[in-house]
Amino acid sequence: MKNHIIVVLLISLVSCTNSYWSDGITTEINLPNHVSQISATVIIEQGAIGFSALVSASSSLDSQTGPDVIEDAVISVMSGDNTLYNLDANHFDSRSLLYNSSLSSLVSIPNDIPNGQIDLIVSSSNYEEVYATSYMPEKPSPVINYSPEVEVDSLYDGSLLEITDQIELSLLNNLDLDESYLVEINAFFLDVQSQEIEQRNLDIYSQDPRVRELNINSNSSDMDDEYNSRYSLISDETVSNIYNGLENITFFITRDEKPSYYEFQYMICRISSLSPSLAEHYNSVDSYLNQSGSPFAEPDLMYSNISSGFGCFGMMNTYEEQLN
Amino acid sequence: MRYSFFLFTIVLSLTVQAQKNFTLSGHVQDESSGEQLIGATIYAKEVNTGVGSNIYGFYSLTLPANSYTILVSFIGYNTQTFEIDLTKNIRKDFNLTAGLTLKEAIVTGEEFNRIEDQVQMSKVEIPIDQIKRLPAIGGEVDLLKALQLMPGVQSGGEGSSGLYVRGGSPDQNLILLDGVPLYNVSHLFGFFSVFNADAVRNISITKGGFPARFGGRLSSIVEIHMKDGDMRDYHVDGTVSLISSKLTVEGPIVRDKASFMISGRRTYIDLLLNPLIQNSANNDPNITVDPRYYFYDLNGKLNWKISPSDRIYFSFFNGLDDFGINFSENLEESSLNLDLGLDWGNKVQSLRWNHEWSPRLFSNLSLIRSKYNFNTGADATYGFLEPNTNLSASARYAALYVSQIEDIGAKLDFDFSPNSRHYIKYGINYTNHTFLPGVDSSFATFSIEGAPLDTVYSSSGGAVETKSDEIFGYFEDEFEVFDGLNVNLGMHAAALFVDDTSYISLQPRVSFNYKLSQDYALKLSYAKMSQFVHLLSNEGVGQLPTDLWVPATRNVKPQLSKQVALGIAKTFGDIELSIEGYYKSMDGLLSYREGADFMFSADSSWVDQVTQGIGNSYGAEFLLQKKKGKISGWIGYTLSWSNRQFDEINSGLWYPFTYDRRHDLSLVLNHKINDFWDLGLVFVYGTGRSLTLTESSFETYVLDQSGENIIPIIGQVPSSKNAYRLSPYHRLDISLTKSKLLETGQRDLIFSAYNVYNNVNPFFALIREDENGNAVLREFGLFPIIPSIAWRFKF
Repeated sequence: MKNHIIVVLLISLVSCTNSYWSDGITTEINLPNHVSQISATVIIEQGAIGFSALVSASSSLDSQTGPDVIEDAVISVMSGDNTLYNLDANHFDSRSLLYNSSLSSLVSIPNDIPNGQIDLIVSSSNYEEVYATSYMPEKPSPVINYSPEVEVDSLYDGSLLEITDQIELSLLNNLDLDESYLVEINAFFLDVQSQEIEQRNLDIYSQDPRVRELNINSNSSDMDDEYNSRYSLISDETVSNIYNGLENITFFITRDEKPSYYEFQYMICRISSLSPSLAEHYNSVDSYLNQSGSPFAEPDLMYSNISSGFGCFGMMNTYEEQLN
Repeated sequence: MRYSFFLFTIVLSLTVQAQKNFTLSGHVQDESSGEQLIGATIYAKEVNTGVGSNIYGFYSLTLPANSYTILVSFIGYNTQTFEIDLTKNIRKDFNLTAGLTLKEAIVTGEEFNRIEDQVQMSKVEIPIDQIKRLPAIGGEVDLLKALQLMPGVQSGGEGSSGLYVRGGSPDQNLILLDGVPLYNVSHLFGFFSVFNADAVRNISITKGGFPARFGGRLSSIVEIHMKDGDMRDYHVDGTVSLISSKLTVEGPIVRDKASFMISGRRTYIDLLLNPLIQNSANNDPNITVDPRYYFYDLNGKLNWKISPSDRIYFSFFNGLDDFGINFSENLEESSLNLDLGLDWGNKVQSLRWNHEWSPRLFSNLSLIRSKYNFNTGADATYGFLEPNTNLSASARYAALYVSQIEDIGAKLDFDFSPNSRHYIKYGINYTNHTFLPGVDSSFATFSIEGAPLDTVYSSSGGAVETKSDEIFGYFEDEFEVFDGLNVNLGMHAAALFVDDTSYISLQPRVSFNYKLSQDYALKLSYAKMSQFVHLLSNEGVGQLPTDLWVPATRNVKPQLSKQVALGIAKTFGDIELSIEGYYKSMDGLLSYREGADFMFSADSSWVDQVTQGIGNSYGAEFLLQKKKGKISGWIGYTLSWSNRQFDEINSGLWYPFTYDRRHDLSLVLNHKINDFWDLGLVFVYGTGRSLTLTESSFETYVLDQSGENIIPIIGQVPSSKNAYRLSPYHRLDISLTKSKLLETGQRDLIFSAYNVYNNVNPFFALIREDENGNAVLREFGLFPIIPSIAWRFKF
């Protein structure tokens, strides 16, 4: 709240004084010659049907088109000497501009990544090869206590939204590992008119210091519609030395008002454990997007674990539980 | 061991020599007001020896028994000559009359305490009268902006009153108001300082060669002394300008015994701008926008001469900035009222007791309290009328954020003059610091038909209050080694105790002054400094009231510096020339990590947002200064480099400090045309500050909440840190003052223009595309040409 107040007041002050200089004066800047590097982002979810990889070339600020997608990349995912996946131009989807591991496969096979170090190698004819490592985290085994709010006046989280339900999570805290978890709640409704099941993602909040709320809006000009997502990210960073440091984390769940012909069926809680690189990636993207656009913030480089390039190679393992 | 022996030798020689000498001591003051004069020269012509009065106007001159011609002089006053038969200790107060007799200014008394005679180097003083004649934005004279015109002292940019001294940052300046440190010295986000020139008697800045009595900051000591109050007559001074008005009243409570001074200032920007803002925002009759901004400061002092040997001073300062906006919308079925506000301010008090234990021993005991706090809050109320049932409901949410730092302390200082060859200072200081980096609290309530419905919930969180104790002791001796070589040698020992951690720092200090000839002196100094507090501040923006003062802790170590300076000094008539070179290394510097949000809600995790590193700065300064005469002013030029290195920033590589300004030039001129007209002119030029720019971009993604779709993100690749520069900063300010001397006093009408040739000096810059699609840098300025008029009166 303090941050918003300060920004509003500062902007109002500056705007009172800058009308004379609204266009500014132009100074030429001599940008150095840019050598394009591969940007590769590969996120693999255990048990999901395939994964998508985004491979593009970095571009100079002067570029009219921005980063160009690379269509002839070769993407190898390996466990030791075993090749788990090998994607090439045959896996490239020209509509989504992504490499899809299940694109040229007739059978849908869930991802089954073994334990241990997993390597990523991405190469393309015109660019220097890039490399990254990650590992598949353990599937979470949480204890979830769900408390629907029967009466209106039981709980409140400090925001202006009406609160209905509460869940309390407890997770094991492995003192030897850096652990992070994404939490989301999906509600399922039956449309009585169409007899179809509708899924809605619910907004959840927490004031627990172990939880960070992320707001990620796409800033790509290729997106026709504004696309954004809110996440709740649990991190053991502040409790890394505490054995039971991830117990009793409380979330408040809000439900938007639905039409009367929607019948609530059930809710599903999804908790995804993230590899450290993937958690760092989500945090970094959130920080980056929230700072960009400010005239006083310095440009900051997003996290990358891709050597000689940009992007992220990360993994996630998801647990789901139906809440009754 | 060697140092202990050396110290013993000094003390022994003092004891031996003291037995043959007698002491002339007392105070030097203004004849008409009784105001103590700081740095006046008391000089014995026959032995070519003299001393200066201390910050309380006290002097002590010990000489062998004999008859002497004593010359007493001070800039802006007529030199006086007295014949003294020093066959016993004599106590004599000297009363000087104000005046500018050029011939008398070049008598022998003035020749003693010239810049080439002083051991202290890297120190500049600007007479208050000269500052008041400088052109000023909106007609509001500013003391810190005048210091920014000195070589080695830079401003942070357009409108900033922060001081960047020899490559240091604003938190590295110890700003003392009557001996009490102030933490935030800015009004209006740094556009003005909190110092009212009408309440101030003297201002100086020491940039290097720090004597042992000072400590706690790395880069500079700014000493500001308030007026004591006229002991003899009542005076009223006032100024009305476009931005603010101020009034100073001083006078005797008991003539020649006790006096008071009180000075207040308030801006009325809100009264002038609010109607314009409201008019433009309130086109919708259902909407009301009511902004507010004002600042005020109040200085006061009581001065009581209890006896010839005892004097008590009580000083206080209160300042406040209040900034806010109220928005309300009233519709048929709903209403919203939103009030946002932030305020910040200082409260300072000091009680001091001067005592003359003997003609050679003077002491000052001070009790001090300094508090700075910053508050921001929001209060929103929403009302709703359900059209079908006519049921009314309302919700209210309020939040408050408080941050503060408070110092309570005591210090005891001694001045001891055993003989004419030694001038010793020693003392001890204790301060208890209380830091509260930031505490949030909020509550919300819902009601229907006025009756509470949902539970009121209040949450609080934030940083734990941290207390620390800081103690320091010092000893320094300024003495003549042999004819022509004078030394100030001292030791400053400081300790900080915080939580379960302690830091101890021994800081040797030494300054040499060697007369190469009658007119030239070679100066050399070395100073080690430590600083136990840090200011969390965003370099790109400069100082803001939201900046947080935090202590050194177990995980965040103190800052340290070592500075060596070499220079020459010479006086040509009434013109002083100083050329200095310096090198300063710094350790324990604090910076936000890359990607850290400088506007985060600081709680116990501020330690996780910062990283520590090292820095260096070096350069050369040139100053040609004329302090009196019909034409006065100075030319200052600095050539400097300032760099930083943090392991977690810029891949651990060295990079230029944001305020690394290669060239900095100031030209200041006051011309008293005649008894009625004064012309003031200021021209400044400085290399643009450095900045980091985006050089390229790449694409990445995250998965949405379902895990099935991607959200593409375009990321930027920045240049190496501070690899680029903004355009140079330069501007010209002019003022013209018309004075009218009346029987009842004086009236001045001041016409001034800031940025006369309307240069766009960059305040911030953004990368944009030009018409050809090429990336260009657009620089935006803040202040165009600003003419102003002010009216000043005194009686």
